[in-house]
Amino acid sequence: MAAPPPQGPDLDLSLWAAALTVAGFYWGPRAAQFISAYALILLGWFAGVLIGLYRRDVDSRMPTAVYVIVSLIGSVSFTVPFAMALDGTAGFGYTGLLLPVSLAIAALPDKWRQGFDKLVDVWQAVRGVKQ
Amino acid sequence: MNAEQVLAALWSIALYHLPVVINVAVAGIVCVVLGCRVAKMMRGVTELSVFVQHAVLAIGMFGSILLSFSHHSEWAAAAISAGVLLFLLMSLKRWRLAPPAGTNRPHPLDPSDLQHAVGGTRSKP
Repeated sequence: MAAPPPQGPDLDLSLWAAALTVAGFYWGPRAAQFISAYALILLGWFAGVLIGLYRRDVDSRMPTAVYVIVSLIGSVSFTVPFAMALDGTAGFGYTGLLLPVSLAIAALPDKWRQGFDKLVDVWQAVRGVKQ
Repeated sequence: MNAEQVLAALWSIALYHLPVVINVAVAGIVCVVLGCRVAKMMRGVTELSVFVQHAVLAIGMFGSILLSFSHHSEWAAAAISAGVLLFLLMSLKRWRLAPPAGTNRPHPLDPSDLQHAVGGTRSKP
């Protein structure tokens, strides 16, 4: 009786494994938790973009494609810091705020200017430029 | 294992999952098309239900793309189906009695339709 063939290495060929491999180049062994967090942020960004596209003026100066890209960069860049700043408010940890914060960033393009001005004010107050 | 070998392995995995990759590409195109439609909508003019209908469908599609690359990829098809189901359910009211205007073939009007168009029998002298 022939011996059973030797078992090959235990390979995971799923797309999840591929995504984990790619993310691992950037984040290292803790990549899985970052993928989940950024999946939430991307989902919030997309829902926010749809709301923003519906809310904004038809004759808005910013072209649609530019708005989509700028809101993506804004959501990916600012969601985590904003969520960490809001950590504990309304009884949510910052991981629970990732989705609503990224949604709000993308959905409120008319509030970006106010938010930026407020950030500048806070920054100047922290540095002691403004009393 | 160097970077070239890793890229070759990823390419092999992409070919191995070709149906999923095609599904992701098609769902991405659908998301773009729905986004273009939403961009044409105007708040205060377009009904909110029409926007929500398209947004729900787009989010279902986008969710399926994200789920395809997650540990719960078996739920990707369910996300698309749920989006389509909600889209259809939200247009149920328009389709309940008859095909809505613009979706049926024009046909010659019968005398009762003409009577209705001029205001009914009360318009007779």
